[in-house]
Amino acid sequence: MRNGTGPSTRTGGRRRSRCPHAVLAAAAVLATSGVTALGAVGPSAVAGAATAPPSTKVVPSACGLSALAKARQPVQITMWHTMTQTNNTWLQNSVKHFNGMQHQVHVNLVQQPDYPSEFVKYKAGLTSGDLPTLAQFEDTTVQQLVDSHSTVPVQDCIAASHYKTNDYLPRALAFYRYHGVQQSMPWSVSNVIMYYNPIDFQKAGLNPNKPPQTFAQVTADSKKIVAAHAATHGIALPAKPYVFEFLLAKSGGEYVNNGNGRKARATQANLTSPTAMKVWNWWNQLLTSHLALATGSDPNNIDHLIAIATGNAAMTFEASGVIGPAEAVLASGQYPGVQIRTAPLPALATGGGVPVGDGSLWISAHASLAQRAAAWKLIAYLDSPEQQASLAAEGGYVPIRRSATKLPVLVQRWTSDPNYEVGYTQLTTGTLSNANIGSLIGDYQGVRNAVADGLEQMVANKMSPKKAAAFAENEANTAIENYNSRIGAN
Amino acid sequence: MSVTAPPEHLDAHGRAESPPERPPARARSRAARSPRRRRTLEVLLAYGLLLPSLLVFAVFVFYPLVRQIYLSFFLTPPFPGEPKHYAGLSQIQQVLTSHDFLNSLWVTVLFVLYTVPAGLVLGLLLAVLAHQQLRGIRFFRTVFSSTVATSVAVASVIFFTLLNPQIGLFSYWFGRTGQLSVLDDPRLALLAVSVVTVWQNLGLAFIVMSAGLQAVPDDLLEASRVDGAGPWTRLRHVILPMLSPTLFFAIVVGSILSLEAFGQIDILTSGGPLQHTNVLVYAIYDQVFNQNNQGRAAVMTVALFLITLVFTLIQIRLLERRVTYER
Repeated sequence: MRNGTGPSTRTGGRRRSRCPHAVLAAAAVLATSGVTALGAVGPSAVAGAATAPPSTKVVPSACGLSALAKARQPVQITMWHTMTQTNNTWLQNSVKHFNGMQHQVHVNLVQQPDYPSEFVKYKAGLTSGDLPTLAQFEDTTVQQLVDSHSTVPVQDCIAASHYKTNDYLPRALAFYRYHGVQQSMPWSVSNVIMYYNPIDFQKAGLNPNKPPQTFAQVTADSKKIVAAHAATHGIALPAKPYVFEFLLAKSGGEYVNNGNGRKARATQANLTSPTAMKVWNWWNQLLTSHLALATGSDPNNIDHLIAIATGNAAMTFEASGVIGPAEAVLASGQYPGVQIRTAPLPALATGGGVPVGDGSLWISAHASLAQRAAAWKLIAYLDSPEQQASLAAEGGYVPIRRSATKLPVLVQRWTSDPNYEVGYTQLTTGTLSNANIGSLIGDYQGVRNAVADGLEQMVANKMSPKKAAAFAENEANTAIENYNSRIGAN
Repeated sequence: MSVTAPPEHLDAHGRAESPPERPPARARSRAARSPRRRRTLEVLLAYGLLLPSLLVFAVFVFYPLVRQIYLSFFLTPPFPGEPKHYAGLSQIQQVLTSHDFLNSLWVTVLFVLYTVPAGLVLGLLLAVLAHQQLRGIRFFRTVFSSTVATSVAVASVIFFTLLNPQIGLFSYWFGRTGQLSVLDDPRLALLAVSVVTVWQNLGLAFIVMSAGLQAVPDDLLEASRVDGAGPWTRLRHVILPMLSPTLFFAIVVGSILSLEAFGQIDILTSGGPLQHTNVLVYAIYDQVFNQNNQGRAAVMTVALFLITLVFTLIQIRLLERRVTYER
C-alpha cells in the first residue's frame, strides 16, 4: 500500500512489502497491461544554508519568506516524490500548472522508486549533499526525521505566513505533529479499509449494504459465508503489521508506551496489552476455525486481494488507494461475477477512529532560506482544496481538506463510485486519542518487523496468541532500545 | 650476473699496463654492489608492477576491511552526521551472541549444505548423461547448460510466480493452492530458495563437469574397459579420481556462491519467514540498508570474513590433499 495508497505499508527490509508499487504493478500484470517503469533518480541542486532549528521550537524566520522576496527569481527547487502511474501523471500536470501560473518559484520533480529507497537515498544525501528542497516521506519516518535534525518544521512557515489550518482534517495534521509543532504537511494520505465482494454476501443471505463493523460481526458473517459456500473463507488476512496496527488503533489500543510515543519518546511496545491481546486472539481464532485465509507476508502484497477475485475469501483489509487498481482488474473482465466494495475497518467496538497513513511533505534544512519559502509556496499550492480534490478524484488519495469534498470534481467522483469515499469518511469519525492519532517510533520498521514475526509465528508455527504477542513484544522492545541507544537517548 | 666481469677474466686477457691491484679491487666492489643494486631494482620493479593492483586492493578491500573493524567498536547513529558512540567490545559481544546472528549463521550453513552437494551431484549426473556420443546430444547439452544464461533475478521471479499460492503452477501441482505460500512456511522456505539456487547454478555445474569429463583421456577408459570394468566401476575408480580437480573447483566455487547468495533471497523471501532464510549476507544488507546500523553490520561483516577465511583454508587443506592433478 502506501504508495499510492496506503498507510505505510512498507514493511521494509526483511519482509519488505513492496506494497503500493507492487500492488499496482501486479494489478497491471493481471490486467495484462504493461508494468510501470520506475523513475530514474536525477541530480538535485542543493545549497547548504542556515543550520536547522530545533524541531520543537517555532522560528518563523527559518521559513525564509523575506529571503524569497529578495531572491533572484525564479528560485529553483527540487521535490522528491514516490508517485507512480496515474498519481505521477497527476503530479506532473499539477506542478506544470504551478510553474506556469507564477514566476517566483520553479519546481523540478524527481521521482524516487518507492518510500524505502527514497529514505535510504535521503540519508546518504545527508553526507553527500545530494538532497531535495522538499520531499514526500511516508508516515513511519516522522520520528527519525525529527531525530535527524535535517528538516525545517513547517510550523515555522505556518507561523510566518499566518497560514490557516482549520479547514484541514484534524487527524491528518495530528499525525505529523511532534510535541505540538507541525513537522510536515499532510498531502498524499490514505488509510486501511475493508474490501468485500457483495455478491458473496448476497449468496450467504447477508445484506451486502451492511458489512460487518465489529470483530464479532466479521466472525459471524464469515461463518455464514463459509456455510453457504459463497466463498471458501470469510476473510483473507495478510500477515501485514500495518493491518494489525490499524485494527489496534481503531479498537483504542496504543501501539507503544508513553502515549504512543506522543508524550515522550517510546521505550516499549504495547503488544501484550489487553486490547492488543483481543486483536491477536480474534486473528488467531479466525485462522484456527478456518474462517480466515492466511495469505502470509506476500512481498507483492496482492494475494489477499486476488483471494477475493478467485472466491477464496469474501473480505480483506487493504489501503484505501488500492481501489483504483482493484477496480481496473475487475473491469478487465478477468474475473466475471466478482464485485468489489469498500467499508470502514471493523474494530472491537464501533465508534473508533484510525490514523492517517502515507505521505506528507517535508522541507529540508539544508536548503537556502529562499528555497525553503519557495518549497512552502508549493506545499500550500499542493494542499489547496482544488489540488486536493483533483488528486483524490484522479489518484484515489483521501483529501485532507474539508472544503475539497465540496468541489464538483470530487463530488462527481464520489457519486459515481462511492468506494472512493470510504477512506475519507473513516478519517472523519471517532474522537482523537493518542491511540488513533498514530504512533511515533524511531525504529518504526523494527517494530513492524516484530509484529510481522508475531503474526507469522501464529500463522505458520501455530503458536498461541499469547506466546506470539510476547514474542513480538520482546523483539519490538529490542528494536526500540537499540535505536534509542544509537541516538544516545537512553 | 653474466655481465659482471670476474677479475680472473681480466687477468687472463693480460692487461699488463693496469696496476695489478686496482682492477680486481674495482671489479670486486662492483661485483659486490651490482647484485644488490640489481636486486633492489628488481624489487622496485616488482612493486611498481604490483602498485596498480595494490592500490585497487587498498582502496576497495584493505581500507574497507580496516574501516569495518574500526566501526564494529561503535554504536553508529541512524543518520550520518550525528555522533557515534564508542561501545568497545560490548557491541561485538552482543551481536555475536545474539539470537539473530547465530540464526543467520545456522541458516547460512544449512543453505550451503542444501545447495552445494545437490548442485554437484546433479551437475555431474547431467554431464555424464550428456557425455555420450548420441545423435542430437548437442541439443541436450545446450538445454542442460541453459540456466547459465539466466540471471538470479530472472530465475527468482520465475519461481516466485510458479510458487504463488493463488495462481502458481507448482502450488497447483502440489495441491497447495489457496494455502500459505511455500515461501511463507518456516519449514519449507529455505528449501524452496535452495531449489531455485540449485536450478540456477546447475548450468554452471554442468559446464564445469563436462569440461572435466572431456579431459579424461579416452585411452584410460579404453584400458579400463579392456580390463573388464563396468560403467559403475569406471565412474567410481577412473572418472571420479580424474575429475577430482574439477570437483574440488566446483566445491570451492559453489560454496563461495552459496555464501554470497543474495538476489534470490531478496526477491523470494526478504529473509523471512521468521528469519528462516536470513543468511548472513542478507542479514548484513538488512542492517545497513534497512536498519541503517553500520556498527552492527560491521561486526557481522568481520565475522563473515573470518568464517569464510577459515572455511576456505580448511577446504584447501582437506580437499586439496585428495586431489590428483596428474593426467
